[in-house]
Amino acid sequence: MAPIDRCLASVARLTLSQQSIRPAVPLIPRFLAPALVQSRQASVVRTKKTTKKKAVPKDFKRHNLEKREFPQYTLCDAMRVLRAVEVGQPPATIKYEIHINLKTARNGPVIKNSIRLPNPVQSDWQIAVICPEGSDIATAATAAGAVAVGEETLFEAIRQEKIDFDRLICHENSEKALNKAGLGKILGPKGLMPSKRMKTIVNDVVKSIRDSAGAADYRERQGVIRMAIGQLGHTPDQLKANIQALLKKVKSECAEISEEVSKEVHEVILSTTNGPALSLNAKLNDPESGITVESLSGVM
Amino acid sequence: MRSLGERLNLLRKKLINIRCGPGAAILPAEVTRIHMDFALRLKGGHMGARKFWREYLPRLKYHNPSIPMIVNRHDQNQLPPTMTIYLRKAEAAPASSSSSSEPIAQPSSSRTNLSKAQPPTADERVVHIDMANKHSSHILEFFMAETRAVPLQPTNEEIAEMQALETLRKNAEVDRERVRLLRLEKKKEEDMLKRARAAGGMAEQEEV
Repeated sequence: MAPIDRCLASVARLTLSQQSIRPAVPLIPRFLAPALVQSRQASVVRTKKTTKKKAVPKDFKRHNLEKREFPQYTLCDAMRVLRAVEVGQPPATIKYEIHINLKTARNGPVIKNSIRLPNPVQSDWQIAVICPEGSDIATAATAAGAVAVGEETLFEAIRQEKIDFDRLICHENSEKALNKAGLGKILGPKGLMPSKRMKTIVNDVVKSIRDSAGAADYRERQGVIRMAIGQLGHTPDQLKANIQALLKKVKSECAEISEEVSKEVHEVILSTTNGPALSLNAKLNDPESGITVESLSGVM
Repeated sequence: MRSLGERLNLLRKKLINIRCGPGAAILPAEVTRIHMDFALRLKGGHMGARKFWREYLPRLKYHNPSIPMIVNRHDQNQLPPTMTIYLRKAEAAPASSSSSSEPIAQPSSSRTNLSKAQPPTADERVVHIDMANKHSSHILEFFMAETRAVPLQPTNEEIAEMQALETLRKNAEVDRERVRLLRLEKKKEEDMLKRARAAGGMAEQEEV
């Protein structure tokens, strides 16, 4: 008796062969047999969307504040509101923030720089220096207040994401080593990657440390520059000095950068960590408002 | 970026909230400073104190920008939450005009128990309010009675502003509901189309 599977196989072959000899249906062109064509339902018909997407305008939208009568405040009025909102908060942790709306194109060069404010917001920066290990530069940098110094040891620490500094300066002699290490992937998103353009690859490390100790970075994102401009404990005059210094620098940069594109300051907005945002009108105090600079200078 | 109108309405709401309402009062000149002392956590009846700070102190500060209002928070819940009001002594009033110009040695607010209530200076007297297990509005009543502060009534413009914001809020609610229904309808239709398309697609495949 033959094994069962062989029997099954023959049966299967039989069925297969039967299928293959099934008479083929003669192909009739569709247009000759309209009855066979299924009529399509209205719901299935897909209409192609003809509406084109609106082109994104070249410039960021900036409203005309005067025309819309948007309220703008003197610095003292704004500080009065913000100090009231932030009452009872520890003044060192709460910061005044500034937002500078620029009238600018969506593409093109952006403003990016650092500034040394007359009254620093944060003074204790943690700075790391990349320089040949054990050299004079390394000892000088440590003396100037760097928290981490070195080449390969520092790279290794960065690769393990052990970043306990918020500034990274590179000496010119170590530039090659830095490029070889390929840390752009880690440092780039944090904005720590040293570069010539950012003036963080330098010859005189000590001077750079001293310069950047009280400096704060700012950059234009989506047509707006945002940065911390002062501590809550600052007086109106201190804050005014900071804002003026920043605006002067931004304006000069706007003038420098615009060869083809125009860039100018549109609006300056002041807010705090938890407070509302108030548009400033470039005046320190309005005598009619009945508040004095002194009343805003004291302890909160 | 927020549109200008949206920004304006949000700002209007915040400003009117800080300008009017309970706690909007002008303190008499004899109040030199206010100190609040309570814990970070609520256990032990510290809630009223925190609510007072959160709800009424900004309004008081807005209308009296030159008076220091210090909040000292700590993690010692067993201590009763207290408010200390420093008042200038009546007989020292003429002398105080010269002394008030000098800055008072007062540490600023802290959440780590670093600015405890200072002892009063020579021409100051203090009033303590025990805030334990009291509602914030209750504390405000005590505070107003002790300081004899003058509550500010909202002006006609402010009342108009409040009413405008209220109608805005009501209209927004109606509009939100209307848009919700519209979106729901749209989504329903889209879902139906999707289902029909899925069924139709299968039929087409069979045909091929």
